[in-house]
Amino acid sequence: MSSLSGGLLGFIELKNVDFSYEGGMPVFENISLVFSGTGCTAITGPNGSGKTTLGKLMIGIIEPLNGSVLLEGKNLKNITPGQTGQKIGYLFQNPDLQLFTLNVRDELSFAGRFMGRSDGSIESEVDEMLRIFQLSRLQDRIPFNLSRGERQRLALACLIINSPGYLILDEPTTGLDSTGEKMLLDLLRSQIKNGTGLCVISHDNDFIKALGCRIIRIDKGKIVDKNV
Amino acid sequence: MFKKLDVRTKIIIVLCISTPAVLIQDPYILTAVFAVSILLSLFTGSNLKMVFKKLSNVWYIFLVLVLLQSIFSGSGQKLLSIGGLTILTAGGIIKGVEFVLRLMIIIISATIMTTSNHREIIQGLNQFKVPYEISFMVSVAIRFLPMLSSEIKNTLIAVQLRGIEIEKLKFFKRISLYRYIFYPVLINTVKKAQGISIAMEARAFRAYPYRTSYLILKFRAIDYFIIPVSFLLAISLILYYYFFD
Amino acid sequence: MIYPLEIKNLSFKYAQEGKNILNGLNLKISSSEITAITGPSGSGKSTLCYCIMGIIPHIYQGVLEGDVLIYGRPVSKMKVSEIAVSAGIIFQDPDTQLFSPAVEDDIAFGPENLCIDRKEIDRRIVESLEMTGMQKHRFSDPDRLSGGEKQLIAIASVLSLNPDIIIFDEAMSQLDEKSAARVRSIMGGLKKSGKAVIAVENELKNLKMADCLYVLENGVLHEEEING
Repeated sequence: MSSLSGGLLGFIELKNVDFSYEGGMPVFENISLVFSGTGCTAITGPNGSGKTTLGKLMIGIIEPLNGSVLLEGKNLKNITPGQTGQKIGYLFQNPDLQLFTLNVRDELSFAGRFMGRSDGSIESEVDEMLRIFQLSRLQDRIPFNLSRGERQRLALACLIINSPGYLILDEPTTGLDSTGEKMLLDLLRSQIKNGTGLCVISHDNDFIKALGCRIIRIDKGKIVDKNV
Repeated sequence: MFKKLDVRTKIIIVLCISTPAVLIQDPYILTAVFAVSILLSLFTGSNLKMVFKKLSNVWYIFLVLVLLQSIFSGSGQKLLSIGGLTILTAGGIIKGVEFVLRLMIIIISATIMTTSNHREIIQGLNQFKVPYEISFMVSVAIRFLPMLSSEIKNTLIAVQLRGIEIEKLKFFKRISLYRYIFYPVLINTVKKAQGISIAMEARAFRAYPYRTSYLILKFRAIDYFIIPVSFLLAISLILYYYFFD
Repeated sequence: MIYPLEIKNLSFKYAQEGKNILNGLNLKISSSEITAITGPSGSGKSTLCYCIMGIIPHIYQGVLEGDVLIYGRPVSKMKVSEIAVSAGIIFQDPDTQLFSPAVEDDIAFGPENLCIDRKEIDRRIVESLEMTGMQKHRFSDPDRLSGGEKQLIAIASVLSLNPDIIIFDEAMSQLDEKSAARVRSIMGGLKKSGKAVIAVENELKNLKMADCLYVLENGVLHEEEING
């Protein structure tokens, strides 16, 4: 409970955040939350409760109207999305928004190349990701033509290859069947074990329970329940 | 009063402002038309502040336009020349300003249409006897423009969230990054358009050559007043410019 | 006997794929029944829905064999918009199904296409809003509604066409439990009023109210016990 009620410096910290979409009703009014850099936190709640909005605030895709979002104590406003992305991997609700290339292999390697890494070191990591996410036989396919579940896996692999210290996943089980879900579960468990922090946004209670997350339940923009 | 204008009246107002703007080449008259378009746009309740804010982000484009016009259609007193090449002339600058005014009038009068929703615009066109398939196409296009711009913005953030620090990239590398924004924007837009068109057909769109409409637009007294006045003003302005000025 | 929907020996292969996704599939659907179809992701559930609606072969192309008959008429000889008079479909993603500035315009869209007069359209708007419990959102902007509300409006927009066959293509997969329960009760109501309901879902828990259950595997359907 102590890590939630403030005072302690968290990895991501929301301080008195207000938010509303242009011309819309307020989504959040004066909410404060602290996320520690390790373990698993789940944000859950009914449709329209503001789960996705909260995730977007945490990564800086949208900015709070009032209040601030801090990453390791620094205001997100003063950090570029590039820097944020090196620390946090963010899985969009719709994986199509984060697939940029015309080839599965390129998809995994292009960001590293842009940041000046040598081909050799990237290629071996790409192979590993293809293996872990069972994408090897699809490596020459066009990402946009893959099935929903395959795109979801690819998007996730593209985050993990950066080895960020923290992952925010928005509805990661959408489009996965029970085999895919099990694979995801195993992968996330091992990530947590290796010290990666995890925040799962999901309405899938079984999945959250299986991960053993601390749960933040929100409804209509209010935090209704915080459990350790 | 102006805020409840029929969408057809708004279409006529836009035509009556933009037609003289295209036909007339007089900076004073254009300035007057510009002022009128701003007033009408405000009266109909459009969000001019935001439009100006967006335009101010691209002010340099306007500056370039003025300069280009000035170089290619120079006349009158020379103001600035570099090594024998005349860059700025008084006449050229006036031409450039006219061109920008014309552009602004068209943009601002078009904002009047944004005060009606696209269902009304479709219906307005239908009641102007435009076939419903065409008016639906127009409305989908109108709806997609803002969607496209927010899609580009979001994709630009998404690509950076891969850990790419755009600020640190060299100029040409940065340009080549924009190529990666192109695919998802294009593909998502096409997918969305296809999804919407399938949803429309699956709800019997184009089952028959005709369709009824739940929404019916009716002119009110103010519309009957404004339509003839707009026509009259626009025509007399054009006549005045061509025959008396 | 003429069934509202009958599928005979249906096979389909997407143009860019190597093997058939549907492989000699047979199915008969009766009125006043809820027919549930499930299967792993990628098994071709959505493809089957597209075939029923005529979206395959009219919009998406590939190699199609066999017949889909609606009241004995082959859909391959009808336009999608003609098929829509007898069969309606709700898709997984509510965002592409709503395209009007107000909820009532979206619900009116179908009946308008059927050249129904305004008074009757008005009656149908009221009726479908009641069935979905969305009365208070009649004049709302669909873009401002939550995912669950959007999906209920998408259902209302199909109900206003009053089709005999209604297909729910993973319509509940993105909904929380409360909204999903609402959708299930709508299906029950449709069954009572004599409609043929087809519920396609990934998760069995959403299919308990069905009269018969089929599993789609290797391109064919197997009937299974509901609680088996």
